[in-house]
Amino acid sequence: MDKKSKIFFTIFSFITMISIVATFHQYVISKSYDTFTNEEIFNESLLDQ
Amino acid sequence: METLIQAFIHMCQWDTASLLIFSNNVFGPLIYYSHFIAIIISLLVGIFVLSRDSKALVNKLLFLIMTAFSIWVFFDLILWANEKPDLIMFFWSMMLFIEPFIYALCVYFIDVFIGKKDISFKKKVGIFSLLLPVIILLPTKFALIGFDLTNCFREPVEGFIATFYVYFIEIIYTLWIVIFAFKKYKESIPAIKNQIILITIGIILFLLSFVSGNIVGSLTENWTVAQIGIFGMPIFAGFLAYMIVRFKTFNIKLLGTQVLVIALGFLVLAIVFVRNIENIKLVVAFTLLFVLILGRTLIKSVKREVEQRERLEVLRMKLEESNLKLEDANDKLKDLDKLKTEFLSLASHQLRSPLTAMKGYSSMIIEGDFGEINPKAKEAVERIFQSTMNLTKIVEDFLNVSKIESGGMKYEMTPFSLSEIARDMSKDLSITAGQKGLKLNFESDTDEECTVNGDREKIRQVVLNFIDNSIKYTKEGSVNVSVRKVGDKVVFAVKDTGMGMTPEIKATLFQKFARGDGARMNTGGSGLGLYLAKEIVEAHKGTVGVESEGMGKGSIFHFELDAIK
Repeated sequence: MDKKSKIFFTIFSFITMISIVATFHQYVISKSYDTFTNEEIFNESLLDQ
Repeated sequence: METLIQAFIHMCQWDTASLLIFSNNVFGPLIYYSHFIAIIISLLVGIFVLSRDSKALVNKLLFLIMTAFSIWVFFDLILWANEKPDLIMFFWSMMLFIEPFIYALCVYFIDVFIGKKDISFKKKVGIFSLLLPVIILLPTKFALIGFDLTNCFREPVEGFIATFYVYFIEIIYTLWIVIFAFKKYKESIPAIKNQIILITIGIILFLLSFVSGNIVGSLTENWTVAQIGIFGMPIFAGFLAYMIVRFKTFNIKLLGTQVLVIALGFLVLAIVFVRNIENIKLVVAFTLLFVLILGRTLIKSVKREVEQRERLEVLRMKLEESNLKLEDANDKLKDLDKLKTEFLSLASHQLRSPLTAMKGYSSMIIEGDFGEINPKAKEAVERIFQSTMNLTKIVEDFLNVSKIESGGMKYEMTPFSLSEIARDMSKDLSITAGQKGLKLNFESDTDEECTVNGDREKIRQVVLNFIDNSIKYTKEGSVNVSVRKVGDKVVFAVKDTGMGMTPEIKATLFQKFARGDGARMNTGGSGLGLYLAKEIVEAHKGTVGVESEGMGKGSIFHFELDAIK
């Protein structure tokens, strides 16, 4: 593979790694995501508990 | 939020997954069966192809596709089994990236496979840049807006990237493959066309079944049906296996028998993963079908291989036999050739002495050394003398041929003027030419210009042979001798208005004993003069040749030697 391609794929892989780490941090570590709920079902489930 | 999620897990009765993939949340046992077969077959094919030739780009790309697909399938299994929204969100995002990444790799792969070389840098940037929006926006709400807790399906809510952009670039990649393959198909030779069709159909079927499963799932919300897409991999692997066996693709020299046997084994092993006895009949039927198909292919390929080997063995033995016979014949020929050369040399030497005596005594009788003889007797003795001279010439020719063939011909290389020799020969032979009513003309450049390095005596014989031949084979007209300096060569040429020759005769003229039609006109020759002339000139690093426009149109005999600078 020529040098330009190697540089391109290295940068591509680096950006991908950063994105994966950021996504993991976002969802698994920080648990920073919205949830969409149905109020009735939610209240019912709390009563069950 | 943690409380909310726990409440939902409890309410929906989601099972806790162990090792990420094992739980009762997987309500269709076939899911495990389909997933594990796909992972095993794809990894098997990828590793098999890579191990055969790890340096070839096309093998590496196929391995990457298989690995990426295996990862995608494994993540899919996690999504089926897992109950934790954070893990589902994360692995769902990963699949949003891996899926179009597999498409991009397939585009790269098919270009390299058909083009037989790496693609340009521009194309690489073009293919993979389309993925950048997905990668960069993966951790944002453009990819996944949030997690859906309005139902028990354990799904995120997809954003613009997931619902639109990913499918858009997958369509682009698919069209890219089809258009490229079609273009290359038109340009290729018939032998390659089949391979192009097979690999393109295999990839398209795989990608379409891959994406159609997702589309069906997205539209119908029936993700069990969507699992059909996973079976696209065994179909693709099937195409690849056929190509490996049929066309020895990916430099796989070994027959794919081993691949087929291992695939059969894993198919049977996969039954272990079926957890529900109700589905066992379906699984066994499916597995049996695959076993029958693969088994038949296996038997056919083994049979073909055995037959091929048997044919090769028979051919090898015949070849060995022929080689032995040829070696034998060659040895005999070499012995015969050696004997012939020795005989020629011996016979010629033996003939020399009586010929010298005959020449000497007949000459003395003609000159009256033994007293006057009557004119009729004198005429007879003159004929004897002439015949002796001819026979001596023939014997000399034979001796020279045997010397050349045994490598014993010696050349005394000195500088001399070729034009001077040609002039002398022309003068000597002008009498003979005059007796036949022919004009013998001579022209040349200066003696200094026509100086060459060589064996003077041997070259003189060549010059004599050429001029003498022209005189013999010309009934009327003229013989023109010329010596010219052309570039750094000295060219000697004899042009006559004689009988000429056909291209067939021209082709064989300088071979031993070749006389063409000339034998009718000159029955006294040995047929070795031109052969000797060619050998002598070529020993001087020169070239010899003849031109003629046809029978009755005369000829030009010529040779050239390097001039001394």
